[in-house]
Amino acid sequence: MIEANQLSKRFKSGHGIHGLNFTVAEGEAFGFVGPNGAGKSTTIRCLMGFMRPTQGHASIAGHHCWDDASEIHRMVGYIPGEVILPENLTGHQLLQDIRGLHGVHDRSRLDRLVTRFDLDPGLSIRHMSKGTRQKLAIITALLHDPAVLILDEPTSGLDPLMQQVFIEIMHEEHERGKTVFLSSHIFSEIERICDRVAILRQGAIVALEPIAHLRAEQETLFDVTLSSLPTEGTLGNLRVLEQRGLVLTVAVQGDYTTFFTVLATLPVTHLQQRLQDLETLFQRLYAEEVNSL
Amino acid sequence: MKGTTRALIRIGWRSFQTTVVSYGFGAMAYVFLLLWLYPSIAHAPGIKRLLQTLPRSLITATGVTAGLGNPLAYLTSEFYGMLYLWILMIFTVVGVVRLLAQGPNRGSAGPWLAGPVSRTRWVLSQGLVFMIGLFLTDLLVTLSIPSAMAIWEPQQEITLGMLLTLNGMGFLLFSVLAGVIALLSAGFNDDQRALGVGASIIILEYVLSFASGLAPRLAWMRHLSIFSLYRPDAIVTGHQHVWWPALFLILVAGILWGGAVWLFQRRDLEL
Repeated sequence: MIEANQLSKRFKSGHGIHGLNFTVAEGEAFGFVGPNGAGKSTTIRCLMGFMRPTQGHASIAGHHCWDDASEIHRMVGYIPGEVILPENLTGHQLLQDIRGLHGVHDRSRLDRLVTRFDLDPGLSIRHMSKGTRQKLAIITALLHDPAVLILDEPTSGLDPLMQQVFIEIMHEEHERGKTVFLSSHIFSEIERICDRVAILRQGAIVALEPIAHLRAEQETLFDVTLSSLPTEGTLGNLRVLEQRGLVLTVAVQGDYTTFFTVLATLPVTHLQQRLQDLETLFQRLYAEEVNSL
Repeated sequence: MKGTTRALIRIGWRSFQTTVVSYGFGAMAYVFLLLWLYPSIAHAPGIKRLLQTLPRSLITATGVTAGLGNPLAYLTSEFYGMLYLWILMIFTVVGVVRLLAQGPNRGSAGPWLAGPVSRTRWVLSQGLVFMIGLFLTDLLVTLSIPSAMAIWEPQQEITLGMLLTLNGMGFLLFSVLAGVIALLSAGFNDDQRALGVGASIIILEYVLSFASGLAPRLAWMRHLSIFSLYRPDAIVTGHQHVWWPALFLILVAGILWGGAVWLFQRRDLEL
């Protein structure tokens, strides 16, 4: 559905994106992760036909992103990284205008979205908070029921409750076969929505993996609290990542028998389990590629 | 007209209508004020002698060559030669920058430009909104003259053709100047820069036209100014053939607006 072929955009400063290659299948949710300034928004602007690549090209559903931008926009719902809306309008006027542009006559989907996001569209945009503007931007991107969603940091400014609503809606859209291209620097967001993830660093893709593969590589972390310090050799082959006083953080991947056998010999007073987050996992798996840039 | 174009025109008009109303009624108020003052000026003893004592260059530069014999001639010097031009110059610079440059450069046009809208359609729809606004402003000015004359100079007859020519040529002149601003708005990614450079070019053009009337040795300057194609005093005295200048202005406006579309199609947008 989405294809980038040697996609490059070089700015005068030397920054930009350099020879990106990726494809996103129809119905796939694709995550695009990277620190600020890595080139995520530039890539998205090239996909939306707002920026002309200096080399290579991108296409969506066979349409060239720069040459057929208006065709692309017909099938894409877009949330920009920095949401700026016309301040002289009310939310209601903006939504009406967007409906007019896309020729959406049935307003039932719009009404449902407004209810789910608990938005008061009668408010003037000038008087809306950042979070409310973000909700309005999300609704404008979704109201014409697009086949492709291109979202740049979509939950920025949303409270945790609304972030949850957004993630639920993304799951529903994904189940309905929509293609999602989600850019974020928040790994947990990508992890909850996407099938595959690419990590971008200084304008280049340093890793591209299915989320399922990453989950298999994911270690379980145990915070083990002891009543006294362990003597030398009692920890056996356990991989201790950190020791803070009497609390040890142990990483386990698959071999739980050894872990519990060793644990049985120790004076354990408390045990807490957590999953390693994807960000740490990426650092572990791709430390070489990331550090070489 | 396609639904998207209609929607874009509605969007543009919503942000532009206040400007049109304020400039249109402002210009109308000036016309009423000037025609209210006209009887006291035109019939003042010694006014003709005063005009005869003024240097010819000053009379030419200020456009009083048509005299004060009738209200329209009086308006060419007091309004069409000066106030009308300044009002529409500000209206054009502010209006075109607001419609074409502010939204894409500041990001607030993002929701529209991320819709199923080609860049050509965006520029042309916003251009059309400006032209409608310019037309309505000109229409208000045109209608205000017979209205004010019916109140204060009911015995005077107005030459309708002359009135329409004065305003029609004004409309074409400002279509060209709007094209200059549109070109800058489409090319620059900073609307303040478009505003500054555009205003400077238009003021320079006006100054060249004004200065060309001050002395015979400066007359060549008028060939550098688009304002030389709009001579209200010559229209009222019947000394200007308007068809060729009108065709020329239409052609130049078309080229400039076409250039604006071409430039806007090629630039990067940070939306």
